[in-house]
Amino acid sequence: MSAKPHPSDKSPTDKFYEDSDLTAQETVKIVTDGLRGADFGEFYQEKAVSESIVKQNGQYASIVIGNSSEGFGFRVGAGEQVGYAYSEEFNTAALKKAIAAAREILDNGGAQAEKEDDPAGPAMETSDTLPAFGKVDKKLFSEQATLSGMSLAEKIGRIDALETYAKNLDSSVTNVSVSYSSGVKDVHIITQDGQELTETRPMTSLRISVQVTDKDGNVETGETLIGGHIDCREAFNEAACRKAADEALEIAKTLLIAEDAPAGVMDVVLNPGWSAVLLHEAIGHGLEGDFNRKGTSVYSGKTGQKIAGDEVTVIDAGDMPGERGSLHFDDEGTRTQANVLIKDGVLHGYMQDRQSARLMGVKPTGNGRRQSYAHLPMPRMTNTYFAPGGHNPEDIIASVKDGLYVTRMGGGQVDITSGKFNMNAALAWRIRDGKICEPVKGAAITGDGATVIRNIAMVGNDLKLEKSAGVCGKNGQSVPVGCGQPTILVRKMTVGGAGK
Amino acid sequence: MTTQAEKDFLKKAKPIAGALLDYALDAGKPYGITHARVTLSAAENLSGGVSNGAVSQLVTGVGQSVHITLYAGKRSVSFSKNTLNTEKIRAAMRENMQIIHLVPENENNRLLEKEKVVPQPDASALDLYEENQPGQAELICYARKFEEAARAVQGVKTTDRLKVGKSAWQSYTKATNGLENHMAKTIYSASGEVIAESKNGMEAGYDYSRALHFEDMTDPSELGRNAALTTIAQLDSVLPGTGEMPIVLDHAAAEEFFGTVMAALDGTAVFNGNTFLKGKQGQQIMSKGVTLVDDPLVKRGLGSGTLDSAGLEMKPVTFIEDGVLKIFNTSVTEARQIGVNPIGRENGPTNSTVLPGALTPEELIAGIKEGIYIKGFKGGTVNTANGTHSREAYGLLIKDGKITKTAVSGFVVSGTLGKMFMNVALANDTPQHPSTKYSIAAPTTRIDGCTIAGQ
Repeated sequence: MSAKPHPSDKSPTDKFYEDSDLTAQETVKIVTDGLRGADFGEFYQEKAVSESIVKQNGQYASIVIGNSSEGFGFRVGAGEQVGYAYSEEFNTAALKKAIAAAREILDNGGAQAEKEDDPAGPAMETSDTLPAFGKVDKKLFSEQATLSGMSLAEKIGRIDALETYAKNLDSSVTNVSVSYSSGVKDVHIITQDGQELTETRPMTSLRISVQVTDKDGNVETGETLIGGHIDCREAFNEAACRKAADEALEIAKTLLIAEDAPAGVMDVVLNPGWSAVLLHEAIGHGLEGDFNRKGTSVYSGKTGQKIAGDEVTVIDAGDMPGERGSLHFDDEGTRTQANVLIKDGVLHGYMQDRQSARLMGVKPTGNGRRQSYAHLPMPRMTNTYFAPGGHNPEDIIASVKDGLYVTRMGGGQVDITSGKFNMNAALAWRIRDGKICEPVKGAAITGDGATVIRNIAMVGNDLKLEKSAGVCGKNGQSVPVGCGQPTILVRKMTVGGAGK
Repeated sequence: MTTQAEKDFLKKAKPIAGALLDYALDAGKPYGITHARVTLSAAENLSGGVSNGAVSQLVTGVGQSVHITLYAGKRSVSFSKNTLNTEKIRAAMRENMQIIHLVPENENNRLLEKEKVVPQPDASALDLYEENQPGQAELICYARKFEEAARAVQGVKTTDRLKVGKSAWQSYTKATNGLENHMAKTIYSASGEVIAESKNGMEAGYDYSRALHFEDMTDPSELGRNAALTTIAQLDSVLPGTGEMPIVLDHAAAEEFFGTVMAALDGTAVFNGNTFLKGKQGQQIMSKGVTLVDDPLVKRGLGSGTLDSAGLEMKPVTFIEDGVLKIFNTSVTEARQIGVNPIGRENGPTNSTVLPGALTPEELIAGIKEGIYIKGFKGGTVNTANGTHSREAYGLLIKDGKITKTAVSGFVVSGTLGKMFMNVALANDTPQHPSTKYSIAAPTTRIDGCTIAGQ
């Protein structure tokens, strides 16, 4: 971050002005002038590089090396109104043109900008006092990431080795796919008060799919991921790659013997980690500030109310070291923090960007995020997790008479307004009389968030965060997110499968 | 007729693309570069949103990009950049020239054979690029009418995320196998959410429209009113019972179902053994009477074009005829991988249609004692490898041969794709292209033998 002292004379913002006729000083002046009279707004710039390699069924399907994308966006807002203009060219003419276009909504759109001080409303309660994670001032991830930490020959060598390893694991393996992608995004923000912020955000993903076929020709695929705020060197760690391949094979083989999931209403135990994507869909989205200021979320107007059992505490923390959704500051330049959304079953507050915070009379919470310079920021999750409870996971499973234990959650989606969500459990196990029995596949789990969170009966003590998988979509924009939970028992969920 | 914007774009793009190709071959000679392909594209985007009659959002942006693939025999490597700065592009090309020898060979990843490349047939009659485009004010006016109409319907609480946008997009591709392809489209889109409330809670619904010419967009008042009415119809929805029953899909749900059919025909899925239809070309894979065609030559059609990006002429094709699988959906690379002829669909299907059946929708439903009329699917799993279909859906109950007013949601439709495909009956109400909604225009579709997981 630019606030930190730098060893050389070189400023961390230099690279953003390399190809431009603009200097930092000029840009800050033009931007702050352009934001005059606005309630909120900022200049956001990025320079991103990326690459990807895909090998499937023994062939390199694509090798993409040297992608780059850069551009800036200028946003100006007053009340409910937002003007935004973006361009991939960054120079005086383009910046001035963007400012004029964005300001049109204020100047001609009928908006009455009344610049006031930021609301003195309540700040979100942060999780300083919570045992799981404290506030951090250290680096959340390495900003030294690079795509060139390994040569192309090395990357291909690792992919070939991983493929060979996975193919030779078992005679039932019929296809192996390895898909690698890595990117580094440099972000530069100038806030309304003229502060310049920079951050380097690495993101790498290595996906391995192992397909198995049984003697009757039944085909199943297991898939695992390595990824997060890391660069290629970490992703291609040999031990981690082998473990991922082992796991993918295990999933695929289990799916081969799994029966179709049953259909009906039953108790569901969610395993720790990625299962929290259910929390993300069922509850998280409904706690985003934009829906709540408009009153269109099922959780609107419920701050201070008891919406879940005593054991339920939900936190969204953008400041966790090493986690997938972590950022030092959000895409509006607000420092991230740990926000307690639900504490002991009581709704405390929502995730905010600057606009929604302002309109709701609270402070921004560091949740204003965007996919790229060509997109407007909005309230988004960062790392959302259930705080651990007091139960041993074994005791939770033992308490279920007839139910489902989900070990591989797929993706899902939610309708914010009704709170209805659906999730797909790629792999789960029947629980009978407190014991884990046969595996089942293809279970769709549906329900509404408000009911689910009330039906959380037990919360385990084994919190786990997921780093590799989360990509969240909202209004056509994707951002990486982390999520986590301990083992959790939810009573009476609707499970839909093709089995009996 | 070529518009001025198209002429301007080509005037700029052609020399840049030509020079970059020359550079690829000249500078690439020492590195064994044999072929190259350059695509330049440019877009102008504009969108506006309204809330309570006021403009809530105005977004404008411009973008341009270059995509280059270098070939050294059977080796290839690509990159893209969102700049037309020639110096930077050449630097990136040089970097890829230096590493291309490290790329493993893949004989399927080559340009289309020179003799198969055809000159681009004139596309002006398709009318894909609007010359006189509406400005911000007209888009906002459309959005206001949409909102007004939605809010005028009794029972509507509010509207949200109401947006109207325009994207004027062009691309020019030139490759050393003789390929030359110019594509240009203006794409308008509008969508909005309606929120209605009853004593049992809130419900959100939406409607949308898209077209290549602004005048072809659905009337905004009709769109708003329809969004409101469909939302209100889903209020107070209940969970249906669990059991096996027929389902009837409306046009939107039928499009999703036939999207699944197309996913099972995908070339990469065939290559990877990830579809149960692998090896079934020429076989009965769907019920008799199901014919799925794709026509790229629809005037003002959203997917229309005359030349695919590989250099093959785009002509109408039939994927499924009377339930028999005729061809897989393949790119040139996929066609080589699975050993079939390419079909002129490098960028996928264009304007697809499921031909109408013989019955009216009423007749299709008449025999159903108990079933569900499905208006849409949400999420869930479709696995074309093992045939699992397990998706949440919403709609209305069917009782004694008629669609009732009882809204249902939160249930899951499960079945096996192989069986579902063979249990399809079609109504005679296939929508026409150009469609403001559908990429696959399909009639009201009945599927028997699915399991509904509800209460």
